[in-house]
Amino acid sequence: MKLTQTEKWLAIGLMVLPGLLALPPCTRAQSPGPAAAQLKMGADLSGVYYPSTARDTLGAATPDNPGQQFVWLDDSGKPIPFPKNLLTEWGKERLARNHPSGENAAGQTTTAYDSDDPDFACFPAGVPRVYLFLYPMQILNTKDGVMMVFEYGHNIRQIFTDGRGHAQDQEPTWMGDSIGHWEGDTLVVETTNQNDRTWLGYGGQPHSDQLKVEERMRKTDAGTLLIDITLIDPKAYTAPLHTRKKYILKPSWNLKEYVCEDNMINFRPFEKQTSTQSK
Amino acid sequence: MSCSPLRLLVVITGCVMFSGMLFAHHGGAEYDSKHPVTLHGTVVELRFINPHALLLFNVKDDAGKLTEWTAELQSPNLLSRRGWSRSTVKPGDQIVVMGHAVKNGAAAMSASKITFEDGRETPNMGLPPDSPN
Repeated sequence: MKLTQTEKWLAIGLMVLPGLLALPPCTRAQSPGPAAAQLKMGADLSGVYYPSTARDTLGAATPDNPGQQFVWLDDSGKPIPFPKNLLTEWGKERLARNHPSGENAAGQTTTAYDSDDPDFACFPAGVPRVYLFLYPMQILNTKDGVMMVFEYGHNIRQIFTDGRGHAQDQEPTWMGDSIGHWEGDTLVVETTNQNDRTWLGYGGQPHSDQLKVEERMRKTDAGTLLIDITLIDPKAYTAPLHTRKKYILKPSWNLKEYVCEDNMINFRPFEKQTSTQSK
Repeated sequence: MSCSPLRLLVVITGCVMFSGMLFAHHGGAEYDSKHPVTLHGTVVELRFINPHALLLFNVKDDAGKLTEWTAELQSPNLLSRRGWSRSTVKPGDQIVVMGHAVKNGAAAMSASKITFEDGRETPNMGLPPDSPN
């Protein structure tokens, strides 16, 4: 049988094709792009951490609430009260609308039961408030970056360091969209695309969906993780806000189960009993 | 200001230093942080469930009337890391509960320290220190 030139090439192709398909993926040509970008680790931040409860400027805003409020810092790093003076009109309106737990200037108490704090309704805390809960957090190294898993409410953050950009044209989410890169041993993270339903703390401090959170995470020694945080939110604040959080490595700890909805089943009746406004 | 017999059992222990309202999941505004209290009672039940363990215990007033109090403890997750278990206190145990009562007058309080009447102590209920363990 005599084959034409075209038929010969077709036959060769049919013989070679199965072999090509059987080649392992790593031998195929790759085009440059985010998926192929080299993932470079600046430092190993992995481990289980607990927020510092030291009563210093990093861990405590008040002696009675170590770690439960952010310590706000001015541009020189000096601790300051929450900078209400930086709120925009939109921010002031939001702050006035929120109904946090605590005691107001007139001495009236709003309990957890009477508050509209989104945390008490089990919504994810958002960034950076997720750092305010006195539960451990685990950092894991993943193939495309770093993952933070928070025991409290099982919140997670995925911080992609593989060169991809922020999500485009998506609905904002509770925990936002975190993109990072390494500057030496410091993981630099930018978080955007958060909704405006979370607060910055127990005081009902607001933020908008334009919030951009810039973080610099680094180990200051083998057992200490320091996170410098800057919040840029022109809709809610006329200037950036600064704060800082310290975590202590707990080598022998592991995360435990914490299901926020247990609050509604087991704890809500007790909260109602302690209410000062509802009977 | 009137005081019920039960209230008279509430011993103001201002000299005791408490570690404050350390509740990780809510602010603690419901408690009268300025006035620590100490109650003596009998354990009814320890509910060792998130977000906060609840200790139910009976307190007897001078007339012999029993009132069931509920004390809020830290979360079981945190307590277990400090050495607590769901059987650290058991029904029938005679205990002393130190903490702060709620502002609204209900038989409810926070607990920052619990001891047994025979002098034994329960593990520390405070927040973990800034150390590796």
